[in-house]
Amino acid sequence: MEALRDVNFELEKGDFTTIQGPSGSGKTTLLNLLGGLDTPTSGEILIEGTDIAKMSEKLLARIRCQRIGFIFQFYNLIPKMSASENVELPMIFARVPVAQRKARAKKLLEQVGLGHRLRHAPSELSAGEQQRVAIARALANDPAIVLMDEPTGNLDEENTENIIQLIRELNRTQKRTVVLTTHNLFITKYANKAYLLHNGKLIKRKQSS
Amino acid sequence: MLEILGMAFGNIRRRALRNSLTTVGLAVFVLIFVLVSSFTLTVQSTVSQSLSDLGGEITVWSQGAILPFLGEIPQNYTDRIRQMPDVKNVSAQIARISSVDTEDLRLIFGLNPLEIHVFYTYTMTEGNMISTNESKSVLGYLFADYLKKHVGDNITVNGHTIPVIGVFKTDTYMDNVVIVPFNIAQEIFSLPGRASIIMVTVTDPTKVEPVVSEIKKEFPDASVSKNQEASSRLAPLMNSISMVSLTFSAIAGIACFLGITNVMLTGIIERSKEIGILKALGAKGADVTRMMLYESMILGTAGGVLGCLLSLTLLIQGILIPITSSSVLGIQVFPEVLVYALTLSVAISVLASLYPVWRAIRLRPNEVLKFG
Repeated sequence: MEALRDVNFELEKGDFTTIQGPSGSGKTTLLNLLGGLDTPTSGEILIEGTDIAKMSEKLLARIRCQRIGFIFQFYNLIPKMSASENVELPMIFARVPVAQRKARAKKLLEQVGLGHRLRHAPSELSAGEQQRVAIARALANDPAIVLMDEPTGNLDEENTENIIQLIRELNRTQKRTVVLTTHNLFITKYANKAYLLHNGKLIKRKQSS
Repeated sequence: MLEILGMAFGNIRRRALRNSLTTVGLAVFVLIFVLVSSFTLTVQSTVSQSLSDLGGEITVWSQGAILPFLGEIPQNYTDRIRQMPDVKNVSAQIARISSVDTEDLRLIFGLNPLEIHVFYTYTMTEGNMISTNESKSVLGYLFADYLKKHVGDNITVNGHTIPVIGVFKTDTYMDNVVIVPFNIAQEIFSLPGRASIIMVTVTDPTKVEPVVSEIKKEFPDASVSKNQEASSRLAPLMNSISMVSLTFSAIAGIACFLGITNVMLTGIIERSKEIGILKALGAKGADVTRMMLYESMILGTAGGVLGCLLSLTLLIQGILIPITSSSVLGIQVFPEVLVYALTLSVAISVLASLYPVWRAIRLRPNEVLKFG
């Protein structure tokens, strides 16, 4: 059983890239590698010229904190923290002062349409709202790249559409580099690059400016 | 650092029930530690004080006896000691524990009536002090109150009936004893020519050491010490009491330590996903370590403070340990014990968290988080 083998690709700033593939093809492993949550047995992973493949765990943590935003399929919010506190988390690890942190969390949540739900715990939010909180959290430290693992995998059609539009908005207006894994063909039409992950290889299906 | 401390407080608040129980566990340990230690220190200081209340500057008693009423020495040692230079007064005394009237055990002192005023400071609340070698007795006022005895009544000591001619007060442990003439005590306890202890005073305080040396040289079978050092004679007994106290505290501490380790390990398993999320969001191992150590320090402090408050409340209200049927020992408050207990509470909490913290920082986010 191998997770990937011969993956080569490049991302440019502002790219909206989707990666499709069947279950077990290695989409999650690829995102883990890109996000510094896993290390490759061979090869390089260059983020803005820095090879993170051979970094120590301490440096990888710093990279994850300051240059990468993660959005998970199952949101992975801290259940006992409010929406605002969840969004503040990455900023705590980046040592952002408390007043600044709270202000930014409020602004981010307002940006994703949850300005009125700051104090609500995840259990009090719908699935779509939880994913919005996760998106706001991923943007907390103004990351260079946002990685999304099946962000709509747990959402209904309406919420899927809302989330995708939100992601498009972020990519277009803020020039965020987004890498998104999905089963959903519909989403790829919004991406300027689309890949298919098959037998450990990334096959380019689409590229547009 | 403050941010991580804030997270620690938040984590504790969000798991209120579990952390409250941990705090109570620590408080119970602190309570046990403070009460046991305070009891031990009270006994030690009371016995030391009691020994210091002994009259005279030098005591001579049987080699190897922990307490005077457990040994005996020849009475004629007084003659030879009296001849030594710089010796002012010498008095052979008897101290024994015996039943008085009922089954109650009391300390009975046999003193030379002519020398009582030399070695002891007292006031008479009733009647007179013994002044001859006739079979008469005087009672400490606390004991007299307990037995409801007055001048003119009789007491029975070890089968001997003796009239009471006075009640005295010294504001020392002597207020619980019975005093009879020395020769009468020898009769009652079958100690002809023997004494329990010889008390010596010197002409000049600077001469205590030379007199002690002289007596030691003359009587190698006796134990000689300055009264100020008398408490050191009880070192073996006090050490035993301390060991028992330490053992109780150690057992309570170990139980507390294991309990906290168990709770925290369970917490790590439950929080593994949370820790994985934090690491995925950029928390370093040091951040996770700091957060969890802060949590354990906060719990240790809270438990310690609660335990100290509970202990203080009990001690201030008064815990009285019956020593005899009419006398009690009130456990004293020792501030240093409270400080030590609080420190121990924090230390146990932090030490107990070390292994769970080690487990936590080894968690790999990609292993604990579910990615689709």
